Amino acid sequence: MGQISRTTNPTGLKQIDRKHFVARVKDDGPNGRVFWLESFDFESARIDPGVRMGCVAHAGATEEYFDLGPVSDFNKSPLSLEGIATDKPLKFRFMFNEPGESLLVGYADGVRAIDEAGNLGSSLVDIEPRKLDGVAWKLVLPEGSGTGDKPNVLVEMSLFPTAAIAVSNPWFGVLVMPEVMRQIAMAIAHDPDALDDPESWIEPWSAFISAIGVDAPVASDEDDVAARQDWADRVVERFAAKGIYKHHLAKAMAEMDGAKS
Amino acid sequence: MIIPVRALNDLGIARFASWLDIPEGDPPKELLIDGSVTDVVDGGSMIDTSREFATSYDLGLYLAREVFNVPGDRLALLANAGMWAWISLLFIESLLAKKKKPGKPLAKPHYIMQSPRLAYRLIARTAWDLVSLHGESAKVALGSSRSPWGDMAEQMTSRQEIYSHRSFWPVACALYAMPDGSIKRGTTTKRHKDARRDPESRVGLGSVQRLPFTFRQFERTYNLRQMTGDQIVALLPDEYRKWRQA
Repeated sequence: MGQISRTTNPTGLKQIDRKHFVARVKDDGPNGRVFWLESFDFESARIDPGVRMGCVAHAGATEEYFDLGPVSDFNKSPLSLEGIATDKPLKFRFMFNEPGESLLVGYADGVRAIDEAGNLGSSLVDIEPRKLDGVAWKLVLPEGSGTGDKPNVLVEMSLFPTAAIAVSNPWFGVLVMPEVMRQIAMAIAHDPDALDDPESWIEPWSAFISAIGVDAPVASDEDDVAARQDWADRVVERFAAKGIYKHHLAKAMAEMDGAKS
Repeated sequence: MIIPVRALNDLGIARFASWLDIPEGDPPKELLIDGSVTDVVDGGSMIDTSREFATSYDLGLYLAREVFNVPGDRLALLANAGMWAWISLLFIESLLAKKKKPGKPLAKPHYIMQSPRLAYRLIARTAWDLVSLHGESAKVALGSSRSPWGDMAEQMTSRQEIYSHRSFWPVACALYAMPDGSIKRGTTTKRHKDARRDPESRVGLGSVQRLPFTFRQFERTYNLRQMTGDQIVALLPDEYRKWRQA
C-alpha cells in the first residue's frame, strides 16, 4: 500500500451524516448493557449494498470493535457492551469498506444512541443524562488532548431524562450553562496555546471564542489565576449576550412570574 | 506466602495514604492482613506475597496470568479502588522510585485511586489492564527498569483514544521498542509550539506523542482494526521513517 500524508484525503471517502443511523442502547439486566443498530439508510447515504460496515463503540478509555457485515443485511442483533465504561459518554464510530479491503469508502464519527443523545445535533459540548447520586450536574472536561473529545455535561437523569429535555429547559440554560462556559474558559485560559494546536480538544473552541467577540487569552504566569478569571468572566458575559441565553432567561423569568413553561 | 486478594477499606487507604505523604520508616504492610482495615475480595483470587517485579510490565503480566486469570467483570475489577490500593501496598517495593529519590514513593495517584481522571496512573491497575488488553505490546509502555512509571507510560495511557485501541499498541511496539524491552532514544520527545511553526524543524516528529494524532488521521481513511501491525507501519508517513529503520 502506498503512503499518504496526514493532511490529504486522496481516496475521496465520504463522511456520512449521523442522521442515517439509528443506534439503540439498553441495559439488559443480567446480560449487562447491549447496543444494536436499528437502522442504517445506506441508500440515502449513497453506500453500495455490498459494502461492509464496522463499528467501534467507545466510552472514555474503553472501546470495542464490531464487524456488522454488509450494509444491505447488517447484524441487527444486540451486541454486548460489557467492557465499555458506563460512567463516560458512549459514542459510536461507523466505518465502511469494500469486502477484502481496508481502505474506507465512508465513515461516521460521534454517533450516539438515540436513547442517550436526544436531538442536540452538533455542538461544542455533549450533554449526557447519568445517575449522579444527588448532584444535579457536573462538567467533565476531556482527558488527554484528543480533538475528538468534547466537554461533557453530565446531568442527573431523574431531573433530565434526555439531553434534549435539558437543552430546552430554561433553568438549565440560565443556571448551568454559564458555569459550564466559565469552567471551559478557565481551561482554555490555562492553556491558550492549545487554541491553535490541532491535536488538542481546545482547538475547535478558537472559532467560538472569536465569534463571540473575545480576544484569545494571553499566556500568563502559572500563578496568575486572577488574569485567567478575568478572561473567563469576559467569555461568560459575551456568552450570556447570545440570543439563546436571552431566550432562556426570558422564559425563566416568565416562569417565575407564573407562566407555564 | 499465597493468600487471598484483599481490599483496603477507607481507613486502610487513609493509613496507606498517610505513609505515602510522609514515607518515613517501613511501609505499613501490617495493614495487609488486618481484618479491621481490609476485606477479602470476592472471586477467590489468590496472590503470592513474596513476589517482586523488575518492571511494571512484569507486575501486570503476573496479575493477568496468575491472579486474575479467570474471565470476569473487567469494569468491576477496575473500579475496586480498595483492592488496587491493597495490591499497591503489597508490592510497594517494586513500585517505588528507582532513579530520582530511590526507594521513595512516586505521586500518590500511582498507588491510590484519588479521582477517575487520574485512575490511569495507578500502576498496578493499569499494568494489569494493559497486559490483559494488549499482551506483550504493553511492554513498550511498562517495560522500563528505570522507573515503575516513566514518561512512556504516561504518554501512552493518558490518551483515552488509544488506551484500549488494539491496533495502536503493536504499532507503537514495532516503532519504539528495542529488543531488550527498553525504548529507543527520543521516543517521548515532544514537538513544542516553536517546532510546529518551523517547517524545517524535525524535533519530535514521529514520536509517541505524535502517533495518536497520525492514527486518528489514518482512521479516517483505513479500517485499522482489520489491518496487521506490519501493514499499518508500512503505511505511516515519512516522519516515522527513522523509527521504522532504527
